[in-house]
Amino acid sequence: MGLVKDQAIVLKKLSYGESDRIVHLFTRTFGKISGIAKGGNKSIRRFMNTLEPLRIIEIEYFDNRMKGLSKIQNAYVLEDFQGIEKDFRKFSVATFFMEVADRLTKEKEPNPRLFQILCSTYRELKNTEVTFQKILRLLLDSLEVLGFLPNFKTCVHCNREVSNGNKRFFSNQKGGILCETCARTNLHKTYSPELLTFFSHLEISELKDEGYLALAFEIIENFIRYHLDVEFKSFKFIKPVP
Amino acid sequence: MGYPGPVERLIENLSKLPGIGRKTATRLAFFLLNSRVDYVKELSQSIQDIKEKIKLCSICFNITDIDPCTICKDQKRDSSVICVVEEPSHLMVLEQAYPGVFRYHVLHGVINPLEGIGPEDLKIAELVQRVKDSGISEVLIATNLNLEGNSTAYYIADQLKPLNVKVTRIASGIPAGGDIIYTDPQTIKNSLENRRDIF
Ligand SMILES: [Zn+2]
Ligand SMILES: [Zn+2]
Repeated sequence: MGLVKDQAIVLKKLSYGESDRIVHLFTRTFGKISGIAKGGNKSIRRFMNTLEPLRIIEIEYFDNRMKGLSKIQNAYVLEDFQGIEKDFRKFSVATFFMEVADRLTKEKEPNPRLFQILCSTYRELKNTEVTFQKILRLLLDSLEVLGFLPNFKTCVHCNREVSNGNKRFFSNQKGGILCETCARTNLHKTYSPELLTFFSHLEISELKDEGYLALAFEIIENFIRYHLDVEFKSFKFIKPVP
Repeated sequence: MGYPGPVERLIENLSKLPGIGRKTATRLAFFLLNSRVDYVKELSQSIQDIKEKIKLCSICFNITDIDPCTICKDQKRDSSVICVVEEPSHLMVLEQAYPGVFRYHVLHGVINPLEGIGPEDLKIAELVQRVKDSGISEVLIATNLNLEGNSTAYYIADQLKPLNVKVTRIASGIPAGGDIIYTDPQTIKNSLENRRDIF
C-alpha cells in the first residue's frame, strides 16, 4: 500500500456516514477509482471545494490493492471549470460525460485517452458554445476509446467493405452497418447513406441537418441501451428534441 | 418459526423505514405491543393524517394542512420579497433563524442532471408565474451553495430576467466563528467579493 499521486476528475459523490464522502474519480493513470475522503462531506477544510466535479484535481491517495476504497489524503485544484453550472445545458453535457466515464468503465482499467476527453470536454464547455455536433463528436470519441463504437465501415454480418453510397442499413442488434445482401436476412433500420457515411468518417462537424443530428443521437442511444444496457439519466437533457 | 401474523406484518412494515433493520423493527413492534392502546391509536392516526391532511400550499408549495398556508396568510410579512428554497425542511431552518420576515417558494428539489432532474421537475414555472402575477420586487434564492444549488439559482435568475425583478442570492463566505487560516480559497474569494459595510 503506497501513496499515489495522480490527476483526477470527480465523477460522482456519495455521502458516507455523517462526515465522510465517497467519490468516484477518473484518474489520468489508473482509470476509475473509488475513494473515501474522511471529513469530506462536512464543511471541513481539507476537501471543501476540491473533491467536486468541474475541476481537474491532483490527488494523493493510498492505493488499496485489495478490492475496496482508496483513502484520499489530499486534493488540490489544478484547473477550475466552475461557471459551467450556470448554463443548464452545459452543466448537463458535463454531467453526461461524467456519467459515461462512471458507468462504462470498470475500476482500475487505465484509459488515459478517456481522461483527456473528459478534460477537453470541460475546456470546451467553459470556453465555447455547445452544439449538438460537438456533443456527438465527444460522445463518439469516448465510445471509440472505450472500444464501444459501432462498426460503420464494414458489414457486421459478412465483414465485406461497404462503399459510402451503399451505407444504408444499420443493425442495432449486430452493432453496425449491413451490406445490401445481408440486409435481406438481418433485422435493421434504413437510413440515408449521407448519415451513415458521416459516422464512418467521423466528420460530425458537417452534420448540419437537424433531422440527421437527431437520428444520429438516436442511433447511438439505442446502441448504448441495447449493447451496454445503460440508461444515462442526463441523456435526455443533451440530445436534440425531435 | 415466526411471530404471529399481525406481529410479523408490523415488523415487516417498520423495517421499510429508513435506518431501521429487522432487529430494531422487532424491538419497536414489541414496544408497541406493550404500549397503552390510546398511544397506539394516536400514533397510527398521526401517521394517517400526514397522508390525508397534508398537502402543498397552492401559493408557495410548502407542506401544509390548510391552504393557503399560515405563512402565505400572514399579512405582517414583506409581500415584495420571495425567498426561494429547495425543500420544506430548508424553509423551516430559515424561518427558525429569521422568523416572520419572508414569504417563501419551495422548489421541491434542485437541478441535478445526474439524477435526471431538470428545471421542469421543479416548481420553477410556478415561481415565474407567481412573480408575474403579484407585486414582487425581489426574489432571494436560498438554494444550497453547491453545484446543483448554484445551477438552479442561475437557471431561475435567467427565467426571471425578462420580468425586471431584482434577483439576489444568499451570501457565501467565512462562517460565523470561522478562521481565515482554515478557509478554502473559493470561500475566501466569495467573502471578499461579498464584503459589506461595517455599519
Ligand atoms: Zn454483409
Ligand atoms: Zn404558502
